[in-house]
Amino acid sequence: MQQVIPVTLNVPLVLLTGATGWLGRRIAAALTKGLPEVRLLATGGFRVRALVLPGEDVSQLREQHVEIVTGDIRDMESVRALVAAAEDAILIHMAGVIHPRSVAQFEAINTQGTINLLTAAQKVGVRRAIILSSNSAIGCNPHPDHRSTEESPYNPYMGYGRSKMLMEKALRAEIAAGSPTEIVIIRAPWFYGPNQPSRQTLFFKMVKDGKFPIVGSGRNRRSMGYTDNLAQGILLAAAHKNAAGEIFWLADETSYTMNEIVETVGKVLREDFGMTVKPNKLRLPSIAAEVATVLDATLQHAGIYHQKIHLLSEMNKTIACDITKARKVLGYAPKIALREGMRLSVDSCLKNRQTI
Amino acid sequence: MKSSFRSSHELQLEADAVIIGSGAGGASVADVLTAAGLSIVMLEEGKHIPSSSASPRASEAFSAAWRGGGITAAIGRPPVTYAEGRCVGGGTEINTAITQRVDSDLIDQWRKLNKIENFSPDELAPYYDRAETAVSASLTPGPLGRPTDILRQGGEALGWKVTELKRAQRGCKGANRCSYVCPNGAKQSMAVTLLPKAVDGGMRLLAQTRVDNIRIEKRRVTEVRAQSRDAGGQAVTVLVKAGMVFVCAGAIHTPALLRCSGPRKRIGDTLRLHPTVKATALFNDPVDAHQSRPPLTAITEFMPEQRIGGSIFTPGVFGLSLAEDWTNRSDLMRDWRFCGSYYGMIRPRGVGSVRSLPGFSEPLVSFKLAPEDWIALSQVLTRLGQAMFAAGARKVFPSISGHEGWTSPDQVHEFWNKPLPKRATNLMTVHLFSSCPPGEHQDACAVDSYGRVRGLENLFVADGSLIPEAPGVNPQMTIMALAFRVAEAALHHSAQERARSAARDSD
Repeated sequence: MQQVIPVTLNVPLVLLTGATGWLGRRIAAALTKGLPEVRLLATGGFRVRALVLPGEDVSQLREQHVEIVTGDIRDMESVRALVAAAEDAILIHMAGVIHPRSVAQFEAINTQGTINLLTAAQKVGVRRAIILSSNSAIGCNPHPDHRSTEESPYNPYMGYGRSKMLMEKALRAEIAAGSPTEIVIIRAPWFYGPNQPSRQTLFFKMVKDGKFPIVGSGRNRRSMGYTDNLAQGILLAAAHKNAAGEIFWLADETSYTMNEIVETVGKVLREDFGMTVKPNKLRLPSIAAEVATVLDATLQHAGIYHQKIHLLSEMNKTIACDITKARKVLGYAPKIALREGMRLSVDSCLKNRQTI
Repeated sequence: MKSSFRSSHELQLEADAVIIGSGAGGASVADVLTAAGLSIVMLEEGKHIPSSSASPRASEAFSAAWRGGGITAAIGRPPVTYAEGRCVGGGTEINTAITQRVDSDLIDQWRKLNKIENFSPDELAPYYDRAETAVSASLTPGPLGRPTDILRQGGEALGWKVTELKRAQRGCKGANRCSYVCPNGAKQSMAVTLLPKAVDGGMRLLAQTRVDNIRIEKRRVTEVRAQSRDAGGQAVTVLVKAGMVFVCAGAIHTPALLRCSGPRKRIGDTLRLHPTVKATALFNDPVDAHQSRPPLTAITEFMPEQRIGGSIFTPGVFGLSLAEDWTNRSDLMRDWRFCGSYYGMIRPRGVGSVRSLPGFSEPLVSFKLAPEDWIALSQVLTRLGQAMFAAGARKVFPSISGHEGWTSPDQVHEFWNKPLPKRATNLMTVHLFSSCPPGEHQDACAVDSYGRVRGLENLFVADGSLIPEAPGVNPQMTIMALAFRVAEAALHHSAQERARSAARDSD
């Protein structure tokens, strides 16, 4: 029998951004009703308030008795409404843009939006802010057998990575200047998990059709983060005394090679869901990703963002991190690994009537 | 065992198994296989140096027992100089014989990363026990001398964890010549423990015999080809036919030999080492390190990522260490009785490679430090400086060419937030590993969980090449533990099982 991971938050209020996203929903659920599947529950008697973009589906949050503030982190007025009378609260900031309409949105939302939030939080006396960053600020590993640590230098990957790097640098300057609100930076890699956006369902479909492009040898490693694993780490970072002013990588227990990811998804579809999976034949030479990288960089330089070209450019790169610090300092212990995590993700897709 | 001379220049042998290399890995394999009654031929490139003939002179000792006379450099900026044993007993003849186990969390992490079967800390414990028993791992009795006290005093004054180190020793007399081959036979190296036992058990050991090539036919090794010399000094080709071949030539020469014999996938792609930065500390009172045991404590507060310890000290070795920057450091030679040599070592994030070059006997070795390594080296050097001043040092000289030395504890923080000068910093290592990582993860691993080279049914690796990543401790116990495990598994798995596995690998 696995142990329950109780996370005790003795705060009057927890503030969320990005609560309607696929990670944010799990955090909201862990804070309100708990995540019995992964035995994660935040305890301590607090209220939860979330800033939500206009037009988002908030029915689930309402059921969980989350207070809803409608607005955008780019707008100071909505930010102030979120943090109103939030003295001693904890802020978990998960909103961000990864596939924007234009490149300019990266910095407006990821960098400036975060600065807006922190400034307002400091003013009202928020106790601690946990802020989601990304592997993209650190970029690709210099060697296929290297794993990034919290000491690795910035080497941002494209526009998104740059916006997260600028965000982190602003936060680190605040930490160094003795910010009255404690700051914890969390870096997460490629997410997966239930209720995923449709772009990830496309990934399953490509594997099923044997058309997922493995670029180069496929031996490059990728760290991935199952959303409930990440949720555990984020809540531990919210609760743990020694997390203040620190950066943590969070991901699954170990990284996976690209071949392994594609094989595992194929195995899940075949063995757990009885689907016919065509053998993956789409192997592209490494040059394909290099061409995509150049194309992506050129387009992004011109202010244009193209999702498929961007994703192809990353395919032969090693993007792997080391979670030792989170394990040692926070006691982070990710429970779900690739096979089980992918099974739960596929299950959720089918339940949501998405076709694979 | 059959042997025959076809001509005067060729020696043909047959055995159940051939072991290439007689260091911690090879000797441990021999121990398991001779106990099981197998006939064994062991081939060792270096000479046999009995303790009675161990030279007290650095130059003679190094050329006898060390590869390349003591120092080789891995290509990189800066180059990391490394040292390997080349004699009967390998590295165990020239190391300080410190016996530490790898941190359990690291073992767990490696098992998951490479999907290594039966590789939990608990499953490895009996192999570690066996290694420690084989070499009488124990605390050295008697007064350890000032060099040890310096580390303890410095570490404790700073509130850091300091650990006494067990060693492979029995009746250490404190000659402080561990790196020259112990003159008293007190160090429980392979040449005084497992090798004589295996020879008594029927093993045939051929020293000064260098393997050129391993012949592979259809997923099987058929023959090992080596060069030796007969009693008259005449070159002899040695051909050994054996049912199993164990390559135990160390993290550099094992992958080099495999690569020039055929197997290449993931072999020699992941060399790791412990980049080490040294410092000389000058004290007001005599240290007389040459009359003491080598420092037998270590500052372990920052393990497994960083460790601070002390080096072997003889006037000759000390002089060699000053030679890196003789213009600025030769003055210290005058005060050698007041000096101690200490080091900080890190577990690197950088990775290196080993490539064999056609026509050259030495492989091409390169190692590139990662940016994180520079940060860690700055930290460990700062901490080393702090510890030396806390132990009462008057001056501390980091091994950075042209550096004037620190005269007060405030000066040691010089590099805390500033990278070390890449060209002037002298980095070295005596710990090399990880060039043939084991595991079932075929994308990542050169050999299977039990050291069998992929695609081949009777070729095994059993030495430091198998340690999945830098262990952060002296590697001898881990090398022995993994070699025992490889040999046991090879005996346990039937030839048919191995043939099936090899066939599966090549699909």
